[in-house]
Amino acid sequence: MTLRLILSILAPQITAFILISAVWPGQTRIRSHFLLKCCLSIGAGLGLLSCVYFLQLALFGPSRKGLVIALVAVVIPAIALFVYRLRSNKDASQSECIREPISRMELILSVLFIVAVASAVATFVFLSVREPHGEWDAWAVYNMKARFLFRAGNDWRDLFREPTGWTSPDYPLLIPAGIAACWTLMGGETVAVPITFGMLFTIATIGVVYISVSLLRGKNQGLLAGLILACTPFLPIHGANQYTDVPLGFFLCATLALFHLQDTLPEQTYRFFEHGFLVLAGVMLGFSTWTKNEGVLFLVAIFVARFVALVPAKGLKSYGRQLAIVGVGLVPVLLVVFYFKVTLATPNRMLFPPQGPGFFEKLLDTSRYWIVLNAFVTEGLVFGKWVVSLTACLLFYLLLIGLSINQKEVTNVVASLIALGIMLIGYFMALVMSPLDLSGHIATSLNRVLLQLWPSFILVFFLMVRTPDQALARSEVLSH
Amino acid sequence: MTFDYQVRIRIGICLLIFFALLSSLESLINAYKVYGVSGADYITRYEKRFDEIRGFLPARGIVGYAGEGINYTEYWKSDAVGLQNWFLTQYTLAPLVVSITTNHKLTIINNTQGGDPIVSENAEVTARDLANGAQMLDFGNGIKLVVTQ
Repeated sequence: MTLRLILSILAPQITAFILISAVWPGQTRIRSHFLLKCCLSIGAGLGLLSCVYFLQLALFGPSRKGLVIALVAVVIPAIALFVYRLRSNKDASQSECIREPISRMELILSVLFIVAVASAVATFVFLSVREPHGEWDAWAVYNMKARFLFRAGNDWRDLFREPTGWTSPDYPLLIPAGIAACWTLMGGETVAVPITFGMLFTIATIGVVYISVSLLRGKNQGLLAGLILACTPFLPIHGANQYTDVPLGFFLCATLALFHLQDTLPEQTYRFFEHGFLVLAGVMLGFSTWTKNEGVLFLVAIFVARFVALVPAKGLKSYGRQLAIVGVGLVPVLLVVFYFKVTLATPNRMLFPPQGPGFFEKLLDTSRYWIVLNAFVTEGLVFGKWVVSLTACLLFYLLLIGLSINQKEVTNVVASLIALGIMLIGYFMALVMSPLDLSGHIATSLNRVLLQLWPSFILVFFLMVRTPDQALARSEVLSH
Repeated sequence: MTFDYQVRIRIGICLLIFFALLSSLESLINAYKVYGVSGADYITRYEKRFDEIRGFLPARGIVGYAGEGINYTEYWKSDAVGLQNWFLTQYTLAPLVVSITTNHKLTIINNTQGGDPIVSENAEVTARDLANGAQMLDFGNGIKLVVTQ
């Protein structure tokens, strides 16, 4: 069973790794940016598995053999594309990365980062052993749906039959279909699958933030960013709770990280594979819409934010070109989401509620805005479950260290901040317009939706603040 | 003055890391405190209550559900324990659809009110005829099944 579990989870991730390596800009060697590719493969692999499983289920009915064939059908072109890239890049000069000697600070930060990740993993394990089925939303919605898809055979569409709508039949299926796909490949059900999903997404989120900031702002800054994220108790706690906010948070920060990484490359208009990060950003963006409905808001936020930031700086043509390349990765996943929404999903109960006050009544009720604003401020101050206020700590750190944004990064940083701002406004308005009891809805959801944005916020924050090396070097300059 | 600046930077970084690691440690200790033995968690025990009734239910389709604390016309106004019992029943019995709508041939009655489900998991099944020609099977652990002809 353990071997089957490992194989069922590993197989799609290896496929995703090959695909990611195939579109990776620059060097096509496997070892190049290996860790980042691995972290991205975790989300992309499970997303890919979930899409393939859902399409196979919807078009041909449940079949283990069919699923294996469908996966093989994805693996073969992935390998072919990768081999093509290897051959076409054969003559390209492959510069060896010269490793600088490790500084004392890097050594200390590396050790502390490893301790922080180990602590997060241990916390995750203790909580998962205690509650292997996850918390309320996990067993009531996502794992229940996974069981339904896996157990129902040809009657799997009954999942969308219940008229009351408490199971959120409009929610996309990345996690339930991913879990059911693994069970199908394994030939049996085990809670180890959703637990492993939670663990992988938790670690991959830390990994993406750590490596991306390391590549963009230096190793020490990356270690510090990764450490702060790993030490945010909400991350392993909600990961172990098997809430989909952690996978969504992963896709959000992976999308932003890939947009930032693209700008480290020289702009080469006519070479498709030099825009590989944008293609991958499109894939991650697509998977965010397949994870939760909030992903659709993120899609809009990204397009609007990049328009506002990019058009004045680089022109409409550059924006259009970026959008087209992002679309290469985005559209295939969006088609799956669209198919699901059109054929199976019921109307969203938040947008079209069967209960509660009317739309305009809520929109014009100022007291609702104050209640939500108060909740945002209060939660913002205590967010993360730190022993002291995490927000205050980061503000203090920002004031002490100061800002330092790379010239090349300014447009991207502005775009990311606008995107995160739109997300916050969206969440704010969703609560204002909530058809549920407002205080109850805030109490059960606010810290989780903020967690969706937290990895992205940490990513952008550490791309903006001065690195420890810069700050200490500046002080040395001042002393001379 | 310049010395002060460098020290301030170092202290700032150290404090940030210190509070981060302290928070992580506190979270780890709290998680360890609630750590229990695998298989003895609430939901696994809760699911065992349905071992007996499974034999009387179809594998698929739709069955009725009734339980304490459920508001049948506006389910979102049900109390938390009532909702939890309904949702856990659905989680346990999926892919059977467990509905609080009426007129079903089979209706599950689940009255635990959040009590420890392990207490009476192995009770015997007793049958009782109801006035309207229906039959009620009592599984002795808060779970009953009403079978309407």
